[in-house]
Amino acid sequence: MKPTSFDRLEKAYDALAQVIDRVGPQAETMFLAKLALTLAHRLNDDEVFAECIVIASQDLENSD
Amino acid sequence: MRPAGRGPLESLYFDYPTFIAPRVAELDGVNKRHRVAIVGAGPIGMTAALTLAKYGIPSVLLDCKNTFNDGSRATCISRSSMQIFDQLDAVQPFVDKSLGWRHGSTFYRGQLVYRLEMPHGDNDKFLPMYNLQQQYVEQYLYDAVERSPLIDMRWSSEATAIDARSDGVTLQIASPIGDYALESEYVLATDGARSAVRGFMGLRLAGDNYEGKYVIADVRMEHDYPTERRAFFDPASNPGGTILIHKQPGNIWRIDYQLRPGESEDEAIAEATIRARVGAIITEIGHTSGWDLEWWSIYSANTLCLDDYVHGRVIFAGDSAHIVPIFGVRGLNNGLADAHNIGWKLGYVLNGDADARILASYTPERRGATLDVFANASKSTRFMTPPTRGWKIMRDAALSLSLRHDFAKRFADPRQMTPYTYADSPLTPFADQDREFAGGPRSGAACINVKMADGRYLLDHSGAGFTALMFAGGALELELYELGASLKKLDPLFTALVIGPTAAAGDCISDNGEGIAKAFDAAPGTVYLLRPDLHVAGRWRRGDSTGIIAAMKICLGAMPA
Repeated sequence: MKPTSFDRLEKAYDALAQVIDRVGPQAETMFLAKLALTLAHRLNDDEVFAECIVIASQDLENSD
Repeated sequence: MRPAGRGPLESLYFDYPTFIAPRVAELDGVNKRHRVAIVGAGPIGMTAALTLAKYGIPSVLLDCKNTFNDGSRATCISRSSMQIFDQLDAVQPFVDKSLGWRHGSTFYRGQLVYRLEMPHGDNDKFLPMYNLQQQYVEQYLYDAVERSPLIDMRWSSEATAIDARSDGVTLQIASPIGDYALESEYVLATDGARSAVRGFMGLRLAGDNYEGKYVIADVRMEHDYPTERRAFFDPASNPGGTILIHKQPGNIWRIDYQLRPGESEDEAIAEATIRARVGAIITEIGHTSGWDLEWWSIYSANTLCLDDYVHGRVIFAGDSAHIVPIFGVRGLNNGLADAHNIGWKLGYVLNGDADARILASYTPERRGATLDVFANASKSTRFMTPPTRGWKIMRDAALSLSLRHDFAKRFADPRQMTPYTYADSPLTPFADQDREFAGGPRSGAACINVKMADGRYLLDHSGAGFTALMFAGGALELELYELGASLKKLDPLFTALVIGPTAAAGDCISDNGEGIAKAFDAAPGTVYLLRPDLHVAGRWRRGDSTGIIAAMKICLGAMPA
């Protein structure tokens, strides 16, 4: 699967920022987890999803 | 603001002149009707006056202060602005004094995550960006103003009221040697973000204010680092915040840092706080041999502008018309483009060479540029100072990913200023013809430059008025000669630049190797018509004398678009 262009990635960035604000801090973790699970379902590729988990797991120390 | 014990204009590097209000004819009861009164002698007002003077139009330039502005402020000059100064024969001191640059580094928690490289090639006469404190910008423009016999500079002269009518404008001026009324055909309001003229006219800026506040502080230090833009996200010296560092001439360094959420503005601008915060940043960048505090100020990001820049005979330019966030250095540079844009149009109208209807193109062109800035600057601002939790989470996620993954690095691009293309302008309605070209600058775009065999640049040969780039196949065809003669009848300042494979005719520009033709995707017979501000009015791949003459008439308001 071909990765998305930067312009489309930026649209996703903007949309996510606004949804996180809309769902509020109490629900943001639940929202992001559901989003990841839905994306995994649509992606339908165990190997790529495993790589995505590794990428997203890096450099998390001291995050707010 | 400056450290305790130093006056507001006691700079470590700049000697402020003190100007006095001149004795003017109006004080002796002589009521002359001036062509243009310009309120505000900052960089925008002076550039407008110099542009008008280039077209032979005298102006009265007023400023309520008695000297230049108090700090380094707008410190980045873009390539397009240097091109404007070049066209005003004022660029040399800027080149000599400023520090040019084209790179930037973005750090996240101390690690380099993005390397900015602004495009620059052999054909570019100027670098993408130059750093120079605003006092010098004003000094060098003022030196040019002083050389001009057409600019009546009046310091310590404050506009206190305005009467704008359909046939002219009267300003009430207060000066230390007396108050008077000043009559003019047009007023340019270049009096800055807190424009008094805007207030007199009952106009308000509309748009958004952003939450995040920044302190900007200048220090003098012998610090060894190249001239480039350094941005730090979540650095040890400002946890959770952002820092920007720029080098300026004279070992002066600009340090911008974001205030912490909830940090009080009063406390933030106290000298002790400034020294502590700046000291921590200087330590973090590895400088150990001492520094002097020069000047500081505070700002928050805004995207605000007027709905219309033209109100009858009162026309707004620069910060009086629009306030933009500083990320991307568009405040000064777009203001200069405003001044240059309205300058040539008003010059042509007042000389009787164009119909006043062309003034109506100023708002769509320059407000269009502002709205484009807003789109870019809003993104930069949301990245630099995330306004909400959602934007902060996404910004931090992008930065964290960018530590190891290229796909996320472009989020850290500062989206630096590029000249705006007047694609939707009523003066450049020829987008259809752009389809005939596979390259070159399109209708409405700022014209590209090309370095020639003799070391000069193509645009050095452009004239003060409209310029046609005519690509000839050898000897100049009769049709191009006739076209040039017709265009000269419409615009007395018209310049024809004939570009051919060999220097056949006297005025022909030799294009050995056809580098110019390639850059413009030109074939024999191709014509580019450039406006006085060197934006492309239109282009025709296979010529078309009727169409080209019509394009010139549209630009001169002689026929509707």
